[in-house]
Amino acid sequence: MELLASALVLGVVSGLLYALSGAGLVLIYRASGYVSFAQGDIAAVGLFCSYGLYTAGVPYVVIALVTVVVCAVLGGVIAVTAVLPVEKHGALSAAMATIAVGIFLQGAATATVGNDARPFPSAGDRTLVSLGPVSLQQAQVVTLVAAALVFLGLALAFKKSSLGVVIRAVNDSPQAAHLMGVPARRVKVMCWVAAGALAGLAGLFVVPLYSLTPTSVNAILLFGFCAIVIGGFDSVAGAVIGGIVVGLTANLTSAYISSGLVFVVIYLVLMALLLVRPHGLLGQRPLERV
Amino acid sequence: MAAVSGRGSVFTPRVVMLVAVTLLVMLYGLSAPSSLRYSIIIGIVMAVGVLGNNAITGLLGEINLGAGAFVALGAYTFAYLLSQGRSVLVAALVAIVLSMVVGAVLAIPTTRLSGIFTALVTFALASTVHSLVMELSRWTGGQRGISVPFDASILGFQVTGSNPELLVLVTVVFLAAGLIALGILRSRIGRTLFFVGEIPQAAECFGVATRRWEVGIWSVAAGLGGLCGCLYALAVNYLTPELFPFFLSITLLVACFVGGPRAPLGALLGGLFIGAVPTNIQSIIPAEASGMLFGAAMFLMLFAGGLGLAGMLERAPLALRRLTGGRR
Repeated sequence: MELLASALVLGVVSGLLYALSGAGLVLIYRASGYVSFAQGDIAAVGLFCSYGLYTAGVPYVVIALVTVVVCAVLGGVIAVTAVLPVEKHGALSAAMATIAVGIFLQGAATATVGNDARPFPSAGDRTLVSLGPVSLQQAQVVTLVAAALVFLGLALAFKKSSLGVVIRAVNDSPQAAHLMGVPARRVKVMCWVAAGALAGLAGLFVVPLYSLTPTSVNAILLFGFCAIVIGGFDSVAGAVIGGIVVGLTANLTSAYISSGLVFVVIYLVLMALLLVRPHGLLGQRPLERV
Repeated sequence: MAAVSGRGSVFTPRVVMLVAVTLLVMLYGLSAPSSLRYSIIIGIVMAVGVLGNNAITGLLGEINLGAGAFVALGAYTFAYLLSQGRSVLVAALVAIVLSMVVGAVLAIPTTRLSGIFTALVTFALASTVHSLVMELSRWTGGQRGISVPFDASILGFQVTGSNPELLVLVTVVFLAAGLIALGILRSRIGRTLFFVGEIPQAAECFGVATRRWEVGIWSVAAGLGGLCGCLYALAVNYLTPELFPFFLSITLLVACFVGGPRAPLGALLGGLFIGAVPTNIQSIIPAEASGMLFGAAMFLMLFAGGLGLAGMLERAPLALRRLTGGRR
């Protein structure tokens, strides 16, 4: 029973973390119609920058801020220099360009800092909340709060503000957006900057669990992808639900079956869900004109 | 259309170019020292897998990020059957058929998706490989690995490691696969495949069972991936999980875009790029940082329009004629 309770609670906590890493992908997808495979590598670069500060003894808050800012800038630079120029060859080519950028960053990180695992500080390991047999540490509480704030902010921005309408318009009807004077390029770059910041944020919460290597942050990317594929790319709420589904699946699998089979079970769940609902739990079936 | 489908006047030049380049690479490999020959063998082995994966990218326009899964499936099945005393040909045949069946089964849900979603689901597939190899240690040997007999032979020829016989074998296999691919693309089946890939809705209106063709293409791609795995097992002699990292699937995709997704020659060029180049330029770029090289090359090719090296080669005469002011 205790095993079940802790698996459930931890499943929800890590699920929100996965949803957080998926949120940046939703943002890029909404504005551009494809996703970025470089999110994990962007986060890795930011984290390595702030790791240098950590070894110099800089307080955690500064480290966190630096990570997020570096990742945001890097996201913008990648969008301007690499991804948007390839967009003229189609959305899929642009998505492939993000893969190219990702492996380039990964190779560069390996060449400069090597593959050694480095411990990265967390937001604090004091026990803050005790729910029966399960206790939540400060880092987990910070994760929960940050995720909740991000989702609330994104949901409000998409639904209520004119900015959200603009972001949706750029991809949904580019011509209409163009005629209305929407600067499509600037909107997309803005979404990349925001997505970079979100990648850095998610990376900050993930990397203390795995320790820092050039590839370790990519684990969040995969879980984030699964979260938004399951939830549906259209909505932030979908990302949250999808993230929780992935988190619960992962934690229940490692608690009751085998921790080695987490990826396999998630893949099977993903496949089974897509057979029933090809556009995700909350996704809408796009209308096709023949 | 003719230019991409390889019918009509471009068919003969395509065949000639493919045969000529492949044979040149083989001859160069035969005369090279064994370490260089080994890297060329690996390159051509990869080309077989890339050729299969290119069917998905070139014909259907979908991205398969899980190609490494079928290479691993083929390699481990092959090695396991060899360790049970089966002959090379039987083991390879079983491995290929198994890969095709698994590929078809996985393709049934996968082909319901399109575009970026296919890429994401196959991305998830690629990440299962490592843990499956570890989990199924009864057959794969887990972390310990499984060895492939050094004296594995076909018709008395010892086809392992960096032996010249293996180079000839992989060349023959690749050439056969490439020529069959060219022949199919030229035929009625090829026309249907292009129809299904380019305008699926129209194809459906004309009574083509598009889903069945798509699953078929995925299955063939998986089969070639399995074949690539068998040849890979022969070359490396010892299979460990580290040989099939997540990065393998990405590399196969890099090869696809560097070489060009729509020509068998592109598969060869791409395969050599990912298989033979990193080990031979280690003094400039360390092997573990080859991602930089791969990423830069893939990006440049995408930026240039996604035709790849082979596509550019094939269009070169056309561009030349246009430059010199002649008629198309």
